Amino acid sequence: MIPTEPIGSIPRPVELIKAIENLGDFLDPKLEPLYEDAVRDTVKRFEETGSPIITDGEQRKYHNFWTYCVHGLPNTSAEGFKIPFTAGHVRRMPRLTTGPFRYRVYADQYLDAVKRYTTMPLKQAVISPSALSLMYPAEEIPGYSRQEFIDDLLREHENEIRRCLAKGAQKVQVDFTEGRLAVKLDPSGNLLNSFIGLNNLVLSRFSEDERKRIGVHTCPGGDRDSTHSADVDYADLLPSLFELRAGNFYIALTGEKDRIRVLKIIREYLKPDQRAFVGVVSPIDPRIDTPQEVRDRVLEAAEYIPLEQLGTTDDCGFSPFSDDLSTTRETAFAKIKGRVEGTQIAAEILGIG
Amino acid sequence: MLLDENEEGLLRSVALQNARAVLLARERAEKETVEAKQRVTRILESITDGFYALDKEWHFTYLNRKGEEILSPLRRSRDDLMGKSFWEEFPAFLGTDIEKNYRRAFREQATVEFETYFQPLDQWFEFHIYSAPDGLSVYFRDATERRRSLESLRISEGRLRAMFNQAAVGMAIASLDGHLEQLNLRFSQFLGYSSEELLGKSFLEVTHPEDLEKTGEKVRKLISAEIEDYTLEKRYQRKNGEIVWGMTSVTLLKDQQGRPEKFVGIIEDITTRKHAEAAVREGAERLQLALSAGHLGDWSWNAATDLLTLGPEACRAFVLPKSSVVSWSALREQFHPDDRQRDLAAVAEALAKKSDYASEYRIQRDQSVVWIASRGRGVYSADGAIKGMIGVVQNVTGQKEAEKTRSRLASVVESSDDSIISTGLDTVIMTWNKGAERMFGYTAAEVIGKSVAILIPPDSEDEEPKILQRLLNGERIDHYETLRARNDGTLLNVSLTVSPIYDSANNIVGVSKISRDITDRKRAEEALKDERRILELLNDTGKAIASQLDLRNLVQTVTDASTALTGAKFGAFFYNVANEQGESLMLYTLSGASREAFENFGQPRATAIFSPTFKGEAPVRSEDITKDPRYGQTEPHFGMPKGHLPVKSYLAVPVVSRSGAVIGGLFFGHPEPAKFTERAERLIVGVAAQAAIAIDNARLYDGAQREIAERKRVEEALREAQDQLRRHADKLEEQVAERTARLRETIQELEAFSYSVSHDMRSPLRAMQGYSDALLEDYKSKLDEPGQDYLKRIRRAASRMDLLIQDVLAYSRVAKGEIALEKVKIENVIHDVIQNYPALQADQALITVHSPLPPVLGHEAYLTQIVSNFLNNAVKFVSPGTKPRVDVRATIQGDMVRVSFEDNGIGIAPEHQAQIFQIFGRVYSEKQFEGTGIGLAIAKKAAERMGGFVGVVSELGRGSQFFVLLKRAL
Repeated sequence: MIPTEPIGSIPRPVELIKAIENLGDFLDPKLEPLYEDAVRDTVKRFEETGSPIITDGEQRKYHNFWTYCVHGLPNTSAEGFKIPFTAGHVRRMPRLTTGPFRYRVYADQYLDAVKRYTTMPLKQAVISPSALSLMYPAEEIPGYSRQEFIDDLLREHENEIRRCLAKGAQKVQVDFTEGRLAVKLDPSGNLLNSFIGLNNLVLSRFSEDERKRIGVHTCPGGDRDSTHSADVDYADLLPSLFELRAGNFYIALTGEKDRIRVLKIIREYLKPDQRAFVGVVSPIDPRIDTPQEVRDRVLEAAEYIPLEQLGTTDDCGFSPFSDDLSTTRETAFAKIKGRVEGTQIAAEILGIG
Repeated sequence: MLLDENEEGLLRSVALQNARAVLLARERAEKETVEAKQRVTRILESITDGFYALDKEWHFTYLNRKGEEILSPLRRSRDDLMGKSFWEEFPAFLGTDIEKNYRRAFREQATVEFETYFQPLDQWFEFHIYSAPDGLSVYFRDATERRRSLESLRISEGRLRAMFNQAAVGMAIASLDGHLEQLNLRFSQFLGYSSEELLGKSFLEVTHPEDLEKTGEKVRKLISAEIEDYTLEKRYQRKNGEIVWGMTSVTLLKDQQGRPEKFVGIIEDITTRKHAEAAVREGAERLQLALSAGHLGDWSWNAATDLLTLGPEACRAFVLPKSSVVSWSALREQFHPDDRQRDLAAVAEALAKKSDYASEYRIQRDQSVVWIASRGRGVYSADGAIKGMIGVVQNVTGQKEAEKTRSRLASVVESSDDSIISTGLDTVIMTWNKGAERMFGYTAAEVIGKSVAILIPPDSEDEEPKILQRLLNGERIDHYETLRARNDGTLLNVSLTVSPIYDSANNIVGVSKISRDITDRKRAEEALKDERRILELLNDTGKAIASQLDLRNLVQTVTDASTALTGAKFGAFFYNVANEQGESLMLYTLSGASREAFENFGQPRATAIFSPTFKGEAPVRSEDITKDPRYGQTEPHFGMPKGHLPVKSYLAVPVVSRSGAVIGGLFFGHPEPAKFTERAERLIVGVAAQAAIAIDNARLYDGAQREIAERKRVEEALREAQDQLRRHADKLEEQVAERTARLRETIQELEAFSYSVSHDMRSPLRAMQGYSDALLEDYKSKLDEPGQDYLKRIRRAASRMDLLIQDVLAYSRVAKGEIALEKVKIENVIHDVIQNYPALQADQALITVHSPLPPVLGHEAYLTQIVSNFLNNAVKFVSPGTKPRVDVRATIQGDMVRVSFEDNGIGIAPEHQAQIFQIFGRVYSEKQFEGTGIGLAIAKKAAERMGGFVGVVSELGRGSQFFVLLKRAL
């Protein structure tokens, strides 16, 4: 069979989003029943899609896939860097104001919650250290050097991955959406390489077997059906990307204008011990992909990527930012179902179903 | 959309600064990696295994020192091999297990471990290959020695295995949970299972259930290291269910750390031995049982140690603890001192002569002596030396006692006064004791062998067969009374107790007879019967005497009973009736003869024979009265009159009253001599005494009856008198009623009369007073002095008459008027009276009322009468010139009030004090003191009508105290 996995996020229920807005505190105990209902419903729906591996839909991640681990830290301010999206909106990163840098939340706690409702294989997404590295301001923080920050950052990231693996996550996915942004910021590729180096500093600390359970997700961003770096050529990203010492790569593909070209790049640079999960549905496209369409995309990818190194995924999470209402839960699960079914059909055609 | 330029610049700046930091971090990481590699290298260089690393092209990337050393025979150094192809450098490995495993490890990215013999070096190598995508890491070591050791071990193991499998005893290895993992043939055969069947079974499964617990206990201790090993005789269950015994020795196999790994057991089949032991035990138990049944105690003596081992019974006999071991000399200390030397000599003789030892001795137990019989036989070695002795002892105290008892019994039998004989079932006498000789007069020699029928009277011949039959039927024959004949023909009353004699098979083979001479007893029984009869007679007599009140019947009863008691032919009671000469007895009752037989003889007189009885002296008893010297001394008959019933035996007893008077006598006669015994005499004396009492009682009863009759007569007369009185009273009541009616009629007539008198008589008086006044007033000038005086007298007389009539009327009113009593304040009445009479005013008299006067129950008008009379009298009857003084007081006397009027008047002589309360009962004339003479009578009547009375306490010349006593008003 061809493995198929989600990226992670699923749109939150509207009542949960509204309740958080009304209460103004995402940690308010009154929200607990809503969180639980959201996770339980997400699990149920995931299982109904036939997904062999599921997530909690990031229902409890606040505020988004990037800042969840540092949201609300007392030594941060909201005046971090802005990430503009093609939809015209901007998402701001938090900025570190004082040291030391510590996560406030580790993603393994989301596993605790979801495991109450399922025994299926679980995947947990974590943010990459390179994304968080942008929290340190341009000027040095007195008494807390950048080097110290980087060391702390690497340790926190490693710790988070290890905690998730220890909690039984079948896959831990590092969201590396800033990879393409790095190319955009520095076309020379040095920034990207530094990002790669930063991530590898952590990935190198894991064993070969552990790295087989670690994956890296890259996409041009997805928020309110818009991106932040879709204009960056994969050719500038992928060669360096596969230098990451991870066993799995989740690569948005559906939205690419020239998928074949990307597939060729993937084929060229994918290392033997790496698997490429190519995106076969696009979360920012409101249309429900049919299994047949998915099938065709899988078959297309199979022409370039060895079957033993091929997997399918969604181009991105359906709601990386918790307040994103652009996609409904129904649409998300319908698309996931289409992916799963289409992948299965393709696998059968390819004789590995 | 692009970032703001400034924003983008800052972002880039930050990212690049971060990149530098990353670079530094990476450098540091690389440095750490290098350091780590160096550490690894140091480790690799220090290990005792050879190590080399090959890249995926099979080129050497590393070889450690030990590896170089191991490969040195191949003349390859590290430097030579670095970067070189493994296969090119060691072509000999091609086609070998080494190549096969290397390639497999790399291909499968698996860890492979193997050993292989490398012929060029004549060495065994052990390889551990760890693959990675970029090559292999190989640890290897020279395994030659180990292989050789292993081979040796294998050979040893093989030998051991052979020993294990071929051992003559069962051997098994089990896991710590008891499951058999290895076992040898012998063990399989021991249990009757095949090896396959046993493997995997737990050794507890084949252990007998009753031995599981002790096995488990041993195993537990072994595992917990309380013991190093254990040996246990236990039972196993064969496949066919048969039980076998195994001497099981178990120890633990431990690993190099000393931790238990396996159980190793050796099991020797001891079933046969166990059976033999059981048989021996059984035999010993049977022997003990036999000894115990026979109360024999076994013992054995060890000559070398001089110690006796005593069996259970022997211990019991000597009162020693079970399984005691004592020296012979110590045991002899228990013997009676007189028996010790004898026993020692018996042992010595037995040993010396190699004969059996036999001895009897006593041992003292508390207050009793126990006899022990001891038998023994020497045990000798092959060369004839004494090793010891075995024997038995027996407590023969019982036997000794039994012997004593037997001889005692024999003595008892022989010395018994009773006849104790035994016969066979054929009635032939077998034994004959001295008692039988004495009883029946035959000697034992005369009767033994003869039939017991010689003792049976001719008319009881069938008795013996009947007795025998009853015995054979299982009946007990106790105290069977019958007659037997002595050798001289005299008959004896005997009581027979006949018992069967049994043989050892409980069959009746003979009869034992105990005969007791009961002739005397029979006589005594007769006497007793006779006595009982007499007592019954006495009892009846006593009852009759006590119950009879009719004198004649009583005496007759006494006569009859006492005649019967004495056994007289006839008996009689004579009353003692003295004639003028004081010598006569009157025949009263007779028993056993008719009156006619004595009528013609007159009354017996006080002869010498009869006199003592008349006089109440001692009884007279004679065996033959005709021979008594007192007999025939009195005329006219000088003995019994002709025709008198013949009397030889004579008994006469006086009957004397409690007062001492001789009431009479009881006389008894019998034509045969010596019929009356002293006892009979005593009895009759007792009866006579009872009779005397009964006669007295009867007489008293008679008297009482007469008295009762008299009393009845008097009561009857009294009742008659009471009736007459009642009739008389009724008559009187009639008369009273009649008279009362006449009186009432008279009173009414008198009332009418008084009324008419009061009116009719007072009118002319008023006319007389009026006309007198008129004449005096109108014609005073025409009348002379005497004429005026006459008119005044006429007027006074008329006034007096009127007053008298008023008082009489007042009296009659008081006497008859109906009044209702009420509470009256007499003090008020007194004050009203004082106020209404001028003579009672203060200037005329001093009247003191001592208040308060209690109220009285009375009639106010009547009280006024009384008070006015008393006060007016008090002020009238005073000496001339004396101012009247009256003190009025009241005292409470119970429920009455006494109101007194005490004056200082002239007083009243005692003889006049009663008359003054009568009508016209005046003491002084009118000339002396005015008045009608009715006032006090009125007061008296008025007081009486109110339930009280009046009175006076007075002394002439010393004033008077008139009082009225009235009921107190509460």
